[in-house]
Amino acid sequence: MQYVGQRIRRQRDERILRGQGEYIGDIQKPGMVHLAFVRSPYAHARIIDIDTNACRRIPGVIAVFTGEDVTCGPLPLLFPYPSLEAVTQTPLSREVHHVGEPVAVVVALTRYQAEDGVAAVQVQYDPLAAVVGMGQALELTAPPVHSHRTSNRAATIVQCVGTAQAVMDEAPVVVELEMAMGRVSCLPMETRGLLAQWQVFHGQEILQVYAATQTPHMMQRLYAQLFNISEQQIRVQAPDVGGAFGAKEPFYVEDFLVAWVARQMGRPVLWIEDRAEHLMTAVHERAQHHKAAMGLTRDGKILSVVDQFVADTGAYVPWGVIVPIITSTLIPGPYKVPHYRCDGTVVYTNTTPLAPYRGAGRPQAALVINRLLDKAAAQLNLDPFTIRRRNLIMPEEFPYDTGLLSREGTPMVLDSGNYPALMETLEQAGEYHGWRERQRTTLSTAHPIGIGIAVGIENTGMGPHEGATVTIGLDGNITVATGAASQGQGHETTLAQIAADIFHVSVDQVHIVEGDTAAIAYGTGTFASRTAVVAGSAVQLAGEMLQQKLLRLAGHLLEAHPDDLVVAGGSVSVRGVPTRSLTFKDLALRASGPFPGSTFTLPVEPGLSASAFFTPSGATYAAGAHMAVVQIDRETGQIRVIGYTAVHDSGTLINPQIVDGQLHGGIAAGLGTALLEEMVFDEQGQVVTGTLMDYLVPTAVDVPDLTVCHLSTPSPLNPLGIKGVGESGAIASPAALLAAIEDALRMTPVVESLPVRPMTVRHLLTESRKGEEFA
Amino acid sequence: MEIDLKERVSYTLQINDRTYAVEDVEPRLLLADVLRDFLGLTGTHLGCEHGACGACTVLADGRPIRSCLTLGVGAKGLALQTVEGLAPNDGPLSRLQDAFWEEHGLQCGFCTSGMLMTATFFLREHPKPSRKEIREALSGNLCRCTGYQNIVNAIERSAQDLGENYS
Repeated sequence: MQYVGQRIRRQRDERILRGQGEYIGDIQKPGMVHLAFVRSPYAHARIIDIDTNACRRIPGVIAVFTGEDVTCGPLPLLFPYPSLEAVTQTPLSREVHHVGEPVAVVVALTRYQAEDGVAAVQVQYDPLAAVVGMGQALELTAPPVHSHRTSNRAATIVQCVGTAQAVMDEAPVVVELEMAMGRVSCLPMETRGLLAQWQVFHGQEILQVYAATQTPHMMQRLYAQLFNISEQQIRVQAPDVGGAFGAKEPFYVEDFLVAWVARQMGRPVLWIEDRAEHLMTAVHERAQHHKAAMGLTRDGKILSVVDQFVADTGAYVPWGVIVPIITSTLIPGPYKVPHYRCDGTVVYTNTTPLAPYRGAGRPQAALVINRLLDKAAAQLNLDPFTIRRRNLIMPEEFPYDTGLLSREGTPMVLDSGNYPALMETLEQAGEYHGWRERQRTTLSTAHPIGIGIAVGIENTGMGPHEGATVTIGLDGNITVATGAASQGQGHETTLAQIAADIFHVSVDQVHIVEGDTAAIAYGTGTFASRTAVVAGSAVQLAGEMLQQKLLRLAGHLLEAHPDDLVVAGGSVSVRGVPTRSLTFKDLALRASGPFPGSTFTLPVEPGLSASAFFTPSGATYAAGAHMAVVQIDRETGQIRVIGYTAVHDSGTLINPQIVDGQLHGGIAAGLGTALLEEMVFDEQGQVVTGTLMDYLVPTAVDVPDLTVCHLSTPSPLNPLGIKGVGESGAIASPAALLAAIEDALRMTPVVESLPVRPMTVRHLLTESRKGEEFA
Repeated sequence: MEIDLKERVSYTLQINDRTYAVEDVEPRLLLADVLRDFLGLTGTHLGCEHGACGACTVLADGRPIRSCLTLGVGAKGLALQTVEGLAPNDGPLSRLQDAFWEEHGLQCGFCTSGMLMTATFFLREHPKPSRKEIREALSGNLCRCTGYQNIVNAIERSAQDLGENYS
């Protein structure tokens, strides 16, 4: 049986279902102490004095550290960009730039006592003027977000294809759009957490870190740089991680401080973030404000798109300005836009820093282009499917050169896809015409139905690399070590499916080791919908290498040509002569070498193991077409999502059940972005939505039953034809939901900001009534 | 009011039909922390510590409670059940757990224990639920991975299996 393509249940689940998962908060080490942070209540302030005397008298408190104790400069910049004037965070800085920034560290025997200690630390602040909101940041009279800088501008981003403005000026039809997207929190159900300990081995310091992280190898590299030790002295392990969605991707000051404190204390130190800290300090995303225009022919063909936007990066740039860069390159999306100009300005504010959250700038891009098309469709009296079909990149046009430059300055080429087929399937699977029929009778009622569609693409499977070491052990089973790290995506199953197919063994005989820097020397991590593509390809390449080695060894021992050998059931045998056979166990033992002191005579290198890296030449583009159906209550403004269909092209599917799950989660995230979630700050930069009672994430009642369909256009850029999927569901969903709301209310133009909540609908209905009265 | 942080208490808890001694601890300890840090029952997870996310849900006398809003000492005399009590260690999974596995009702698994406990209670009260009823029953348990669909499917499947077994 071939495993790739099969819905098989996941290998790790039984352990989790029994309550035997091992998450960061479950780990205890002898002598372990607990750390808690004193955090700034001000969005911008200078620290005058920190009095730790009362704290030190709290029972259980054993140490307190402030900025005077730590001599670490700003964290390294993670994603440089030519126009970026980067300010990264400094651990326990004397000037704080957002609410929640750590100013002191308390270490105690228990977490309760550490928090008692935090409450007893007295910090005297000199509050400075805070900048909150992108608009304010760019005003000439705006105070500086960072005292040492005069401007609040972090970077400018320009994309240019053709002569967009000139073409726009001549276009027969022009539509305009303004769209402000609210800021959201990644909000994994498990918060961040870290356990660090230093030990001495052979006279050398060894740092061991357990971290709820997406990027163990990156953490290892940064610790090496920050502590000025070799990465060989550092082991970072990600235990079971309870979701991440971007929140566990950057390297935070807390990551440095926990390890630094552990070194001072000479004992294991654990920090578990609480939910309030998470909402205040783990990265946010989405916040952008766009003004865009689209020029079209009278029959609805796009001539030109011009977009100007401001993106908030908060107080720092934890992952460069990758989010607005992605937005700027993906606005054209699946559509042919012959002339395109995008000018983005990234600003600092005294708020929580922003960095990729599931979708990472792409939902914003999909909103801009799809909303522009909807406006044009309304003006030209075209069906939303029709106007899209007239502008999609056609299957025969791949590889399609967008004329844009990717984040690294290389041409941005879409590798493969079949967008018209996505639309076709969506129209049928989503029962578009049935819903239109049903809608007609509701439009004049108190509960009108609306239908919205959107198409989005996603550049997935980015580099630089991921490796795999595939080993057949002395038990005859296969172990695969990769640099990826799982936060619930099911790699332990999908990567095992790939390896099982190469060796024709049961998937249960493959064990995946990931999230451990000791398992493989170099790695990148799990983000940007990249693991199935990059780590999956590495498993394929290393597996094929090991297969060759296995055959060479077995051929030598069985005195047969490798072409005459068959691999099946954990054995290698001569074709047609099943008795001339060696098991994987036998072969692994032989390959490990004869008795110590004897001569190794086999024609292969010792050990049944092979390693390979996959270094993708470029991104592979996944695509999704979504249709949302909503029902509005005109009286209360309530928005109910009553139907949802998504059709996705994720290339070759390794495990369709897992792909479905990824899409379900992504769509729910998009629903949150569109209808519920917003991190709100007041004028002083205080977090208003600091609990899960204020910050609303979708519940089981908010998300409808979802219909998910797949089309597969295999990618030519990797051996298995895989495209990434982790973020895909979150990309087109906000645009489809907004379109549905507008469709129900039959008002254009309307929705100009996200999220759209009942009060927004109420406001829009009131405004439109006013308009009618004046008309 | 001055609180004496040095005060210590000892008590016993009934968990999964076993008696556990909690000795010489601070009285302010929350039930979730007692379970996790003192009794090694780390299957109960803490997602928000303010009663909003439901990850820490356990059953007390058969009814779901938030173990992050309950003092450990306050759980004396209650029959508690945690995720570890749903299936014997060396035995098969419960029907509900197995349905979660089959239907891919978990991804990161962090909310799963709370979901299982809530659903265990719910299915006892509603052996033949509609999908709408299932969704309403889950509305106090947040999940960020699954979009809930496969969790609803799992609970529905578990209920159907239950129905078949009774008929």
